[in-house]
Amino acid sequence: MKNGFVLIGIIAGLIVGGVALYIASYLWLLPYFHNQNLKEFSEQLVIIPPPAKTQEIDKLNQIGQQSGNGDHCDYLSALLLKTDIPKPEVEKYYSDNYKGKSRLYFFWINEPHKPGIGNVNPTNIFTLDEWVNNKSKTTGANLIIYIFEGAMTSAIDYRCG
Amino acid sequence: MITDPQSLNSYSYAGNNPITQSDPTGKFWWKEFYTDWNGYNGISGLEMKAGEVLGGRFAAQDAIAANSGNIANSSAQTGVSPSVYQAIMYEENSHQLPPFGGERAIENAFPGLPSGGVGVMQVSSKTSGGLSNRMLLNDKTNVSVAGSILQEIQSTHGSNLATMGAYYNSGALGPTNAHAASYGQRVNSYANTNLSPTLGDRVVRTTASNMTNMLSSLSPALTSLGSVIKSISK
Repeated sequence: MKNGFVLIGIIAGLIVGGVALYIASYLWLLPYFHNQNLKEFSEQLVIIPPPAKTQEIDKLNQIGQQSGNGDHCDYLSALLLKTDIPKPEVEKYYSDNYKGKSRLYFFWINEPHKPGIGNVNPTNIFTLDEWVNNKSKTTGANLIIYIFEGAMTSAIDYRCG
Repeated sequence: MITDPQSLNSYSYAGNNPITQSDPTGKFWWKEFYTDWNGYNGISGLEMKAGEVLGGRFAAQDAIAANSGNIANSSAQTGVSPSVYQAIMYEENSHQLPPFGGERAIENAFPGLPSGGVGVMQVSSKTSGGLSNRMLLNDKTNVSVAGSILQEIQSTHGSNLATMGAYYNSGALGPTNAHAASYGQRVNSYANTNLSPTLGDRVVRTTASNMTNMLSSLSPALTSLGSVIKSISK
């Protein structure tokens, strides 16, 4: 009988421990590791100073579900710029100075674009909605430069649901 | 007299191979946990598969049955086959961990969380042109919004279900992205599979039902016990 209680106690302890570990991973542990990765990821882009005649209006580095549907983590690092330099020169400047491995995207806000999937902005990245739809209009910003690694396994991070 | 010596083998009921053969008795319903990953991977894959094997499938089946009218109405408007809706709804609902419906309850309690509409189709508020998560928790709205997204994907990328699923999952990356491609493959396999309950599902459902009934039957006893304790404490 006593052994039975000990066994039940061990099983209950394992269940409680497992649930506690799950919650800790969901809220803190995995987000912590993701944040470390995000820092390294964003440094690929944000270390490049803006060229002449170019003003950095805003920047963001974010992890979470930022496109499509379902459970996945997307890493995004983006710069909102207002530039008076011709398009080929800006793109050459950033391409020449970019040493990262992720693909570098240039999104010229005032150029014609096909609408995004699901009635979102043409980049299909929700996080950029505010810049594309609002902030670019109030500030005169005309370019978003970003790197995006999308649809990676969510790894029980609460931001990637 | 033993006419079939093989019957002494405890695995003979599954053709001596309980891992790969069918399991008509349901004794090894959980074997699917390690024999059929269906594109899941990593820690979240483990979590998702656990939810599926531990009964999420019948939550998915219930969701599909409860939304048959919503799906038919939306399908008539979008031209997207009902089987596409059903397959995606199955994918989104089948990996919820017990207690079943818990994720939906969390969504209702905290509609500001990053994801939305887990209970029906997971359509983030950000994908839907200003619809709030709370609005997406309405089944009819949720299915309708998801239908418009699927319609757009179908018109742009064709009706191959694996491809549609990949774009539905990733937004723009599509099947070139490994995670999105796995999602598309899962959705495609669900459309080509009989989604009716397996024996394992029935075992889990019966067990869950029995536990619920047991707790319900204990409820009056606990209430009486509470009354007794109250009266003693007075």
